[in-house]
Formats: sequence, C-alpha cells, structure tokens
Amino acid sequence: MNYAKWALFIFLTFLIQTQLSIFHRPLSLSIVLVYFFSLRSLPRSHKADVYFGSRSEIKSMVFGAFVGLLEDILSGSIIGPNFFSKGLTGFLTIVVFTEVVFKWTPLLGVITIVVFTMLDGVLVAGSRIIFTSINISILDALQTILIQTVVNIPFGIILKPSKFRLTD
Amino acid sequence: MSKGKKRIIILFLLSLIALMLITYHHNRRPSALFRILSYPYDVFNNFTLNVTMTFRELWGTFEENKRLRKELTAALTEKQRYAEIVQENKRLKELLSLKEHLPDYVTTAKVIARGYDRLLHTMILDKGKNSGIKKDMSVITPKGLVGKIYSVKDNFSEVLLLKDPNFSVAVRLQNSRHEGVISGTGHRYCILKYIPPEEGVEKGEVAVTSGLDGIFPPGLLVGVVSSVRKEGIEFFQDIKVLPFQSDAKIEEVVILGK
Repeated sequence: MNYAKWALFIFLTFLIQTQLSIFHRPLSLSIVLVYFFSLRSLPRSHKADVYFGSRSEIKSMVFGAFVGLLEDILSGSIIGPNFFSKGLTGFLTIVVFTEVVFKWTPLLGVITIVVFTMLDGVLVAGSRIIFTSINISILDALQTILIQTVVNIPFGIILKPSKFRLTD
Repeated sequence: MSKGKKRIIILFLLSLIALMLITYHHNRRPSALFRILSYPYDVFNNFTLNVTMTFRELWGTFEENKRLRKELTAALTEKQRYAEIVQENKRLKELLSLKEHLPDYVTTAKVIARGYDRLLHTMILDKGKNSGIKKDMSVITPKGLVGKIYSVKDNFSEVLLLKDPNFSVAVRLQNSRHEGVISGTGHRYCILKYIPPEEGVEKGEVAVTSGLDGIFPPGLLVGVVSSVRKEGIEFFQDIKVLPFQSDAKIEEVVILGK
C-alpha cells in the first residue's frame, strides 16, 4: 500500500512537472517529492537507528536516486545528474534534520528546500555543461533555478515530518 | 567503522554510480538497456501528450460551441428582426391603402400601451392634438373598426375599444339591411341591439357602420354575427357579434375624421 502510494506520488509529480511551467521555465517538483519522502522517513529515535548506518539515510537516498534516475530517463538527456542530485538530497535531508538542526520548523523547512533545490539545479546544470555538448546559457540556467526555488518555498512550509518528533 | 566514515562511503558510492552512468551514456550510443529504460519515457510522453491533446480538443470544442451559440443567437435575432420588419411593412402598406381610399383620413398612429384605467377597455396612441386628432374620431385598422377617440392630449390620445360596455355604434347588416346598435360587453364579443324578433337575421352576416350616429363614417367593417337567439326574449333578438379586429393584435391604427 505504501509502495503504491509513493508510486502514485511519483507518477503525479512527473505528470504535473511535465505539464506545468512558470514563465516558460520547468518546475522542479521531483526534488520536493524526495524531500517529502525523506521527511516522512526521519527516524523517531536514535536508538532505533541501526547502521550501516541509519536505514533512513539509505532508504531516502535510494528513493531519491530512483526518482532521479526516472527523471534522467524522462528528460532524454544523459543519465546520472538527477540520479546523483536527488540521491544526495534524500541522504542530506535525513542528515540535516538528525545531525544539524534536530527539529523541524517552517523556517528551517524553507531554508532546507531552498538550499536543496539550488543544489539540485546547480548539480544538474553543471553536469550537463561538463558532460554534454549541449550549449547551456549560465544566466538562463540560474534564472530557471531561481524560479524553481521560489516555487518550492511554500512546500518547505507545508511539508513536515510526521508527528513532529525527530529524536528522543 | 565510525558513522561519518560510513556516510562518506555511501556518498562516494552514489557519486561513483552517477559518474559511471554519465560516462557510460556519454561515451556510447544508446544501448539496449537505455532503450528499455527509455520505454517508460515514451509511454509517459505518449500518455501526457494524449491527455493534453484531449483536454485541448475538449477546450477547443467548448470554445467553438460557445462561439457558435453566440453566432446562432445573433443570427436568430437578426432573422426575427427581419421578420418583424416584413410584417411591419405589410401592415403599413395596408394602412397606406386605407389612406388612399378613405377621404376622412386624419393620421396613422402607433399603439404604445394599454389604457391606464382598469375599468375601461382602452389603449394609448402615440399621437394627439398636435397630429389633428380630436375626441370621438373613429379608429380603424384594415380589418375593421377598433373604437373611438376617448380623450386627447397634445401628443397622446386614448381609444375606447369596441368591446367596452360604454361603447356603442350604429350599424347596418350588409345582407338583410337591418339597422341596430352594437355595444361592447367587456368580453370578446359585442351585442347587436334593437333588432325585433320578426326580422330575419342569419348567423354570419356582416355588420358595417351605418353612419346614423353621426360619429362613425358609414361602411366601416365592424364584425360578424356569431349567434342569434329568438327564444326566451322580450322585445328584441339576442344577437352576438364578433368584431373583425381583435384588440389583442393591434399595432398601428388609422384615425378618421367625422
């Protein structure tokens, strides 16, 4: 049931992402999905975590990498950039909320999603510039990243971990 | 192994796999694996394309339907206006022919409203004293007598209709040549008074004005005898006359002088 729910989320995310745009710039909702999954996978107690390592970190990273892989395939470009950036996002979200800030608040949610969206955009655009012969305007890429970041800000406020409890 | 080191290993593995994928795809032509992985992409693209196209077509049809409805409404309105103009033209031609044949012609007027007095059967015309209309003048249409001018203002006048109980007109039956007086009843029909029982009056006879009342010119069509009753009466026959001109269908009238 849980798998079906997340499969549906992935499907809807890509459906909306491919159909909607703001100022002719594509949205980056897949990063929101990975962030949301990671928030929902946050461990409730350190005692419950068993490494190799925190299972939540690996789970979120695998989910992010899978979403990224799908996005790479759907984009029709090289496979890898989204795989890496989304996997990293999944991994870092858990690390941020368990090791850095400990407690979720709307402001921290916004800061986190802004940083991750920008990181994702930079990684994907950078990979394209480095590994493909496609000519990408850096200014254009920055504008796109900026718009995607602004669009994702409300999700930083809305999306929160289940039961608000992160660690004991 | 410490937690930090393990994390570094995980991240290193992630980066390594990503780099391998990028390099693999960058250096080679699309492989069978890529084609397999691309399959969902094609399916997804086709699906979204179909969904988008369906919605666009649906929206297009909706917009077109809205536009066509608007055009149809405009066309129907235009058609109705045209039909109205044709009818008006026909009526005005008939009135014009009346003007040519009647020497007592005063003016033609439009009916603009029903009378304000609820106890009287009247209607308001758009012309009055300024157009030469005077009290008691005859009001007719090409079909027949409508009534008489009841009151006159400078630019308006009021017509007392044939069916009003206060209205009377001296008439003559066209075939039998009997003379009588037609009065309104307040209903659709009028009554023909003062025809003795021994006079033979047939149903369907046409009544025209006789001119003996000194108000209406002779020869104007008034109505047709719809029923004659001789039984159970006292001095005169009970004769009902149906006016030629129904007051519900009057739009333009001609006013005749005395």
